[in-house]
Amino acid sequence: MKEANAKLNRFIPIFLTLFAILSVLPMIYYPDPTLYGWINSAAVKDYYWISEAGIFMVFALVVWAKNRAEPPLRYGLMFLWVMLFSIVLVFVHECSLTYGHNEVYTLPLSAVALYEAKTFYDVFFCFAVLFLWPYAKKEPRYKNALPIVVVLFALVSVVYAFIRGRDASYSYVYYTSFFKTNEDLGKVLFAGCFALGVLAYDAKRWLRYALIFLDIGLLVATGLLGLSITFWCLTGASVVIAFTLLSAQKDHLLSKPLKWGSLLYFFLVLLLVLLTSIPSSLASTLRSYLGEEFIAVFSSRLKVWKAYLDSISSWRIFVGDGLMGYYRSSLLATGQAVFTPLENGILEVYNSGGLVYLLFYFLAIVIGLAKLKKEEAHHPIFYAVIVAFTGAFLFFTTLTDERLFFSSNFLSFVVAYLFMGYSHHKTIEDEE
Amino acid sequence: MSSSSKKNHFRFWLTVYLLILVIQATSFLCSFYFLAENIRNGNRWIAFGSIVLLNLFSLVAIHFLNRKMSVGTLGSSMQALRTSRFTGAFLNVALASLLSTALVYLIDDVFYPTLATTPYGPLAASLVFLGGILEFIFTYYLFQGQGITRL
Repeated sequence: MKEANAKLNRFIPIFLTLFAILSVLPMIYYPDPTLYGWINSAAVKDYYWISEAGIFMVFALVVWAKNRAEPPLRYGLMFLWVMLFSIVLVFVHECSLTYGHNEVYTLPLSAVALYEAKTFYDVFFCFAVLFLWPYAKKEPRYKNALPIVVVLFALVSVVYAFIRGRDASYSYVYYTSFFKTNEDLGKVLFAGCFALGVLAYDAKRWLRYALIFLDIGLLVATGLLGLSITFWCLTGASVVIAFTLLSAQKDHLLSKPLKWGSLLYFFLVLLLVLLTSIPSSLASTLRSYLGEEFIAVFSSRLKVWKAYLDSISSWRIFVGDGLMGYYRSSLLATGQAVFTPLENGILEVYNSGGLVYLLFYFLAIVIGLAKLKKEEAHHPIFYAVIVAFTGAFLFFTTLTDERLFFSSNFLSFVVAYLFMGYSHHKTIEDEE
Repeated sequence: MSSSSKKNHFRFWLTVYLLILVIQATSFLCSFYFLAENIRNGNRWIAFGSIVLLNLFSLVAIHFLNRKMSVGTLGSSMQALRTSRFTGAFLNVALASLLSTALVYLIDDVFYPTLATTPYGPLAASLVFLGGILEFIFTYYLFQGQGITRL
């Protein structure tokens, strides 16, 4: 029985890798848009999501049943309450809205049911990430499968982005690679950088330096591809890691070349910030690569957020607006039911379940951090790598629909796995 | 006092304690909501005043109740609850949020359905979230107890 469980646990990273591939497929548009068109068509899209979520939930329940992995009662109660709350929300969120001259817009029942099912699934996903996948840590044989696949995908995307060239229809630098938007490319590169950072920590000798070099190369590529949001998020994370490398006292990773490398990195980042901010022709060029996308995205998002928050009122402030939240602002402003994505992970969580979900979202992150700190207390640099990238991801989520623990979208999934499901392999020296 | 009598005694005071706590949390969250409505539209001063008053009364009551629940047999019986104070604090805010939803619905949509002329969503959402965080912290430390039984 124990052997069967061990086999199952060893299989977890492989399964999660397959799941990551499933979650990235709906993003691939080029070179041939047939698959994209099929998966994102009205007839298939919902069924694709239901199948994906169903596979995930069944596998998670099997792992749960086999391992008899009971989370601490207090956390179990929290999740149980939030799951019950999700069911209550089905009856609380509005399905119809009166606007203009007593015109009524009613949401299709199937769309409401699917949205609430997604909300429920997000809570279950969070539970699985926090309490089920960490069991993979005991059997770390295939733990690198997911990071390796993510890194390879990021590298291929970068190469293809340069081969395909820039999209000239935008006023700023805009590369899309395999994807329909540059935002998706940014997500894939973010995941690749995070995975490379983790792999570099676990690698030894020349391979470690090669992976760090590759990681910095990927970071530079995000800048060259005009992905300024991704670039600055990753630069911030790398600065935190470099600072930890310089100040850490005890970790098997510490070496003189890395310390000097960190110092050089600090210097280069400072130089880049100065070159970008001091007016010159070089600064203008740098700004077009490292700032224009951020400004364009932020200003367009700001309008959406303002419209959403201005349209919400009364008791919806406490429990969110559900699916109607995506239509309310357009209905009130123009009388047209236009689906308007909120493009902000935190707002998406708030819209799903209001104050309770938002509080739960932050508490889940606190629980995750506490668990990580407890397990990786002897590896301060590994802890810094995970926390720095996850912190950068949290900033990243404020401009995209990604959510830490509360979404199984490709990037959210990879970050959740690396944050909670991956652990540094214990060496003999560590055991001593 | 027999053990069943002691149990009943504890259950009674625990129920009163939790009830007052939920009332306090609900009034606290609602007061932030009505404050936002008042700042933007100035149309909910009576509701805001009444809720703040209720909150102050429940705060005083919870202060004395917490003192009572931190000593003697009641204090030792409370230890089980104190160890789950993280979850307890969250459940309190969650329950208060649901009750606030009902209360605001009654006031804004049933009894006084006056239209707000200025959008107040951004301010209300920020203030209510701030209120939720503060209430969580308050309950977390409240559940630690006082005196010798403090965790």
